[in-house]
Amino acid sequence: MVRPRERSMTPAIVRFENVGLRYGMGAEVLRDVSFALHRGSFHFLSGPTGAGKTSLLKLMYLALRPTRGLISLFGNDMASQPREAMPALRRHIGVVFQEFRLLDHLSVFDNVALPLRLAGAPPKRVQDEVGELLNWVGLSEKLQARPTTLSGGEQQRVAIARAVITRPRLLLADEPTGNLDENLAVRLLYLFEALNRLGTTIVIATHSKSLVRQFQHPVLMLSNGQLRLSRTRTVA
Amino acid sequence: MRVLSLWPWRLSRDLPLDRDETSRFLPWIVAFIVFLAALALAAVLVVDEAVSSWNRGLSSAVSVQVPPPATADPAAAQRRVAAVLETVRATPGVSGAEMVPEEKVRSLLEPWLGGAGGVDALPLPALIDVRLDDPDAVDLSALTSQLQAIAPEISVDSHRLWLDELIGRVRWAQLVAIGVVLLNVLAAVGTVIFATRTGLMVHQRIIEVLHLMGATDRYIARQFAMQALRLGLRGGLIGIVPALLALIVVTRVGGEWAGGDFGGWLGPEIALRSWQWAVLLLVPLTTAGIAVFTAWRTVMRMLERLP
Repeated sequence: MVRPRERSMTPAIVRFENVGLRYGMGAEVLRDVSFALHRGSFHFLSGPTGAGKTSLLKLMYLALRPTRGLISLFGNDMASQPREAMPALRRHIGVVFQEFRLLDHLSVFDNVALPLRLAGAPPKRVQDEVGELLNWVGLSEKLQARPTTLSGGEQQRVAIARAVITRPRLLLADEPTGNLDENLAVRLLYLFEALNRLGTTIVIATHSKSLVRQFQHPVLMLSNGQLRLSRTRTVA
Repeated sequence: MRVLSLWPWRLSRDLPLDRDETSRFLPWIVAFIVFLAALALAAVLVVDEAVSSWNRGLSSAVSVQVPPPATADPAAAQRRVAAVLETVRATPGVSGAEMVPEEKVRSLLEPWLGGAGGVDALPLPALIDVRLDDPDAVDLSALTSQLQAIAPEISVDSHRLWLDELIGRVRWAQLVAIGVVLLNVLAAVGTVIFATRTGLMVHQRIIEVLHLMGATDRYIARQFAMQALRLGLRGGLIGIVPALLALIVVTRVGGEWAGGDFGGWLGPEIALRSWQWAVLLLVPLTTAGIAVFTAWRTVMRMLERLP
């Protein structure tokens, strides 16, 4: 179990205490997971296939409820939050899904604009910010394209743009560089770091050892459902 | 502009509900439901109007039948009728009493008894048509006793007995029509629930993404509700137009039958008043409203299962 040293002043953005998760009547896929992520931290989440990385991320982006244990997000104990409060909390979380989950019937522009619109952003802001971000990820020529017409790498960039467009307080990415070439993967990590410098807490699930080595951020290591190792140098 | 943004066609449409199979068949089912409901409701309204009309017309009329005396003396018969008329006209609540001309009585009986040699050979009773201005004020049993003091075989027919029986039967028919309307409502609700659940299943993946991005249940439910409104109104329009055309034809033909060549034998005039036409126009709007409410509730209940 990871017991990261806690920052004394800043409240944890994410806090897990003895969290367990099982699907139905099956065995626990996560056991006694405890950790705290503070504002502005940047972590890789690593581990072998089937270790529970995606399940851990799902707990963080509120797609699942834990079978046991306590989860706190942005200082709110999730067990005591009414269901009506969840949408507002979710809007502070950006997620890059492993399988992208783009809406095929919407254009690239509308896919990226969706979180802003859900947050009630005015059309002018939507127009400016979506255009700027898609230009940054190199998709300014494909604003009106449908996701199904894009390559895997392009779809991934759309998914990433959608996740970061609202400048979320917590950004979770599940294998975000899986379909990208090395050059683009590094560029993407620089984007995440730029967001991180603005205060976004970031967790990236990845298999890429080279990225983990190159970017020297602490690693949450999952194995057999347990968080057993962390490079806590910068966990604080 | 804010009001315009509430207009269903301008709301967010993150869910491609237009492309669903249900979007193609739902308007036609709604159209059929609206068509049947409008006709059934029209029947309820016509029957209601007819019963009121019968009540108004026949409750304020009484027939007195004065058989001819056994002596077959025309003068005695006339004296008897005169005495009856005098008694009836003196009764409180009676506004008038007239003897039905003998020719008319004969013409009424001719279809059953034949002409010369049939009706003409029979001693016919005198019929007195009594009009009441206040049916409740007339004590018919007292009047009957008074008249039977003149001649015991005199009978008073208030029409109430057969009218009550007729109204009872008609009310049953009306209940059946109301049942048809209610069944149509249930059919509309069931169809919309089925279509909405299908939509929820088809778009489960998109709904999950919207949910995880922070879309509220209401945001998602609103899109289904607005789609139900669009399809409901479209179906309502398709259904109400032929229903109204059919009713226009029926009321025209029915009006002619009731008041014209057929001598009214088919019953009361089949006609709808302005407010009744207005009620019928509410059928598609009500159906669309039911569709909206049903879709909304269905989606909200399903989404409550998400974390």
